Amino acid sequence: MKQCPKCEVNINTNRKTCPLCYEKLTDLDKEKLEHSIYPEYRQPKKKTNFFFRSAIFLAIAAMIITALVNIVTYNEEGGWWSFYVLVSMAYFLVLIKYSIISRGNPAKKIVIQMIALSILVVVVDFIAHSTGWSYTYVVPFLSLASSATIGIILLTKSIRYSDYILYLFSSLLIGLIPFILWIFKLVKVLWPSLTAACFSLVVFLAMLVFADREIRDELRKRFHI
Amino acid sequence: MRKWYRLDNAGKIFPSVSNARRANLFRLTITLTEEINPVVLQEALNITIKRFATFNVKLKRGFFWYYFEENKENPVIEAENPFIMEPIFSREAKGFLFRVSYYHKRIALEIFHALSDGYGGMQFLKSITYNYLLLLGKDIDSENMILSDIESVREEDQDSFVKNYDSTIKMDRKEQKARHFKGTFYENNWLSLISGKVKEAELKEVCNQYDCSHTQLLVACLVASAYRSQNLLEQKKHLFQVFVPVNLRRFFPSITLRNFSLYVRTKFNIDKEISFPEIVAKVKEDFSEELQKDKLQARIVANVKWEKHFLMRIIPLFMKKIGFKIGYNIFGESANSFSLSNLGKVDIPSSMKKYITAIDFSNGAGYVSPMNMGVVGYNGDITMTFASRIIERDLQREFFRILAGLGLKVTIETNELEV
Repeated sequence: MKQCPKCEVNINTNRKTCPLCYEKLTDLDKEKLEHSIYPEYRQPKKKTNFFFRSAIFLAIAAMIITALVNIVTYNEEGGWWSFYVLVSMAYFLVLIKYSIISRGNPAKKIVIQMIALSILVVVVDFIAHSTGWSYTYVVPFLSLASSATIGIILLTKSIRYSDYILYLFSSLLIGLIPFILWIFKLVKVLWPSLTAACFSLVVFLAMLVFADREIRDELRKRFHI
Repeated sequence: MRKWYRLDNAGKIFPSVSNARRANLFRLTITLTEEINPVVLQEALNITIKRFATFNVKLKRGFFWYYFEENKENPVIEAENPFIMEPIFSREAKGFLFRVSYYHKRIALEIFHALSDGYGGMQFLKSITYNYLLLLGKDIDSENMILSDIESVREEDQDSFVKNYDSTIKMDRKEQKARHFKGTFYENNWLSLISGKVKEAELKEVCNQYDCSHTQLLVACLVASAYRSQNLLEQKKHLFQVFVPVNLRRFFPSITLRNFSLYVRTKFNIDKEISFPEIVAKVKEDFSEELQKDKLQARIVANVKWEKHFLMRIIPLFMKKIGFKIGYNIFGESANSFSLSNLGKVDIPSSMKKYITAIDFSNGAGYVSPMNMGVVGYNGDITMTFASRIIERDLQREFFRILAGLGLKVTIETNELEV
């Protein structure tokens, strides 16, 4: 035990100076502590993700360079082609962050991929002043594929039902969107959106019919207000 | 089906406003007479966690609210980290919202505030220690003070805030910005702890002299030391506001292990000169004004009202989070200059006392209000622990010098980086 003559307090330490005022301490009993009161300081490990950082850097560099080249060499015929690169790079980052690095639930990854890909194709379609192929064909089949994949995982693997059910739910909901667009005459070709919508409705119905307590409880838990 | 719980009224705010710089943890430690055996401690934790259902959870995101879901993993103990109250990263902790660690003779429990308050945390740590000592074959008896030995009851996971809600009571809520301490922050999120131990009997004598409670005396000493360390206070017109949590179980019948505390605030204009007895008188006055059952209940009602509001309930969680952050900046940390939390005396069965040498309590500090103090009493000792994010320690120095000046014998320990 040591003592600070200035603060008039005892200090339990191996230090030579007072931790409060830095005055030299008087040793009361010449006894040394076996170990410090708290664990020794050590430099913390840096928690940075080099892989993701380089991906962000490369993506942003690519965006800036293509935008620059596009602006400098702009002509009517080529138009703003750099937007294709921008949106692809954005998708690339989502892919790395939420599908490769993420250790989340596979169903979640599938749904995020489905949404990101849908946005990508819709934007590309829009920039190209194209015919609306993205929401006519791609989005319905993407949602169908993702719902089917989640459904198959659910049926074949013995995993916890409740973890997947919500993602299946949202995937099915997105499957209905192209059909709603068709109702409002925004989609010209019926069969792809109808296929996706029918698939969604049938699975919804199956869920309703076979819904056991677990699904209902899960929904109550996730959506309690 | 896994069990799930809503977060309690006070806990609801924490998941939204916590981050690496503001972890909202608090820490309780029990020091034993012998070196800790990690294998036995792990076993003791495995046994204890089964009894404490509200701690055996992970935080999940619903569409409208966060909720706790039963955690099927086993919590793992670790060697104590030199970085006190480092944020708990859910993935590394297997989703658990607390951390049990050991260092030589000490068992430390660090808990996320959304789970419980100091009372609940202490019950948990006491039970871990009890099971640990039992596993070592010590001859101890729980004497009806250790929850591990008492069958759990439903009231333990009650949200006592909601229980004491009464929609007929009206209450306005006004919070003022407080004057904060400013200083040089430690690097790497380091938190410095400086604790001082005094004898309860000596403190009692001083309290009798001023006719006040322990907490009131310590708050007064703290205010007096703030007067003497004005160089650390920001140059603003705001008042110096000390935040003192109050355990509501003292006022309302409840045995919940979740959050059930409110606070009183005492406010000073630091620019005006004031004598020590005057400070004590002002603290006593503020306390007696706020610490009345009907006033406390009115504040409980004000707190519960917002979570019962229909609009509040149907806003999706991601939007709520934004609102919570704004609200917390107005009503939360920035309304406190300093927080002084007194857990009171810890009851330990007499047969266990000979194995336990010390109990400590401290709170994690944020960066808006970078210093605070936790106080706890055990076996005739009172330990006051300053936690601080800033390197300057004028406040701590003045505080302990004032205690020494009052005739108390203070013993200090720190987790200081050795210079």
